[in-house]
Amino acid sequence: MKNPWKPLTLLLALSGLLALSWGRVPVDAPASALPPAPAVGHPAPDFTLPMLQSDALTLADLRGQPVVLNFWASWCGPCRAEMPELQRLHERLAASGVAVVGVNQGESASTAATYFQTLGLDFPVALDERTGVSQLYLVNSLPTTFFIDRDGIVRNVFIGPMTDAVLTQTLRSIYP
Amino acid sequence: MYPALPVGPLRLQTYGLGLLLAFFFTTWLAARRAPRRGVQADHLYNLSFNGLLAGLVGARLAHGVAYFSVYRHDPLQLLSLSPGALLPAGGVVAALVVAAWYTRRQRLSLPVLLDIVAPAMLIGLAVVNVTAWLAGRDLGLATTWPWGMSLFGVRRHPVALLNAALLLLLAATVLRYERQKKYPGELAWVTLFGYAAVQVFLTGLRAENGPVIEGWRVAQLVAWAVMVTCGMVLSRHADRANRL
Repeated sequence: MKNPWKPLTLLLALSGLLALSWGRVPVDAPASALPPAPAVGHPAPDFTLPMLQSDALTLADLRGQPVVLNFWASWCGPCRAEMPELQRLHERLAASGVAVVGVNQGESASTAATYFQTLGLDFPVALDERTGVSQLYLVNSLPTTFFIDRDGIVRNVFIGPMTDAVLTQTLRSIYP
Repeated sequence: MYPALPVGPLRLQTYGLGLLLAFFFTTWLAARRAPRRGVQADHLYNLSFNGLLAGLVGARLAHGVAYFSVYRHDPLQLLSLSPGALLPAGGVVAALVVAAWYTRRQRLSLPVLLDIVAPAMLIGLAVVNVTAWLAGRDLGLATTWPWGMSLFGVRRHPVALLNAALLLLLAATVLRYERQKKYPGELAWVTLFGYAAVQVFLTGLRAENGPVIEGWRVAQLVAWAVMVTCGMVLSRHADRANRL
């Protein structure tokens, strides 16, 4: 009986070499050529929201800074669990230009303010009272955190609460 | 796209759910295949649950080592339920060590076990890829090909779906090949050969590059090397069988 594996391996090895060269990554492929979307590799969709601590925040104004964009709500238990980690990150890296921004989903300014006061938090919070930005970012589970690099490109999306170690690990995608 | 599925008051992550489903489905399928090959089904259940446990512990410990500076200040984080705090490579090594220990202790044949598990794993991986597609993971490059699917404003190769379809096709082929298998372990080699071949051709369609060396995708290079190695092993065995 003939050995079918020799010709099959040879055929696949040669056509595999073609696939390898076809799959080569173009140097400096511009990620910004993709449309804005809440997905890894896409530019983060821009928005402007009122802030708890100041007038308004436009995401595009943070271009040049790595951004940790965290969607939360006061009723969300897992969000509460990760808030101290986000606060510590803000205290540690704000001076280095890393922007930690919370986006409160669907609650009033007074609810968000009371929550922040109770937990002793002071990182910037945008108020998405009508949940338009949450919908733009397809956030259907809280907490959800987007890691956006200096060029405004989404580099990681984490659904669920982050421990200190997870936050440290995930942050490397935008702040090595 | 459904990254999370609402179940009552909870929202379960689709991909995580897919991994769990695939694990139980693979174990169940392998356990069903075992008795016909002279292995008790219980061994398969023991192997997979011991392996899972060891995998979780190993993945968490590896995470602890990788991020020691964080865990040193708060060692209790090692016990957190966060599925994000796992390093898969550590889990795989720990699971393999425990599986090898169990196999040796029970005097089971590793090649026979691998033949039992291999086709079941292909079907489990297909399940994982379907949930990856549902969750919007494993995005493909932009394409004008007719199978392109629109996601985030771009028509893309549906890589996860293609992967699932090809793995199911491969599972069917491997199960058919089983009838003409000549030696223990052959099915596992054939499965690995086919799996690597699928990855060689699919990886180039992925939007996420993973590690890259001089423009070459490392995952694709590794898959090519694995495919060629498996082909050579299978070829050598076939030559030996022909000589006898």
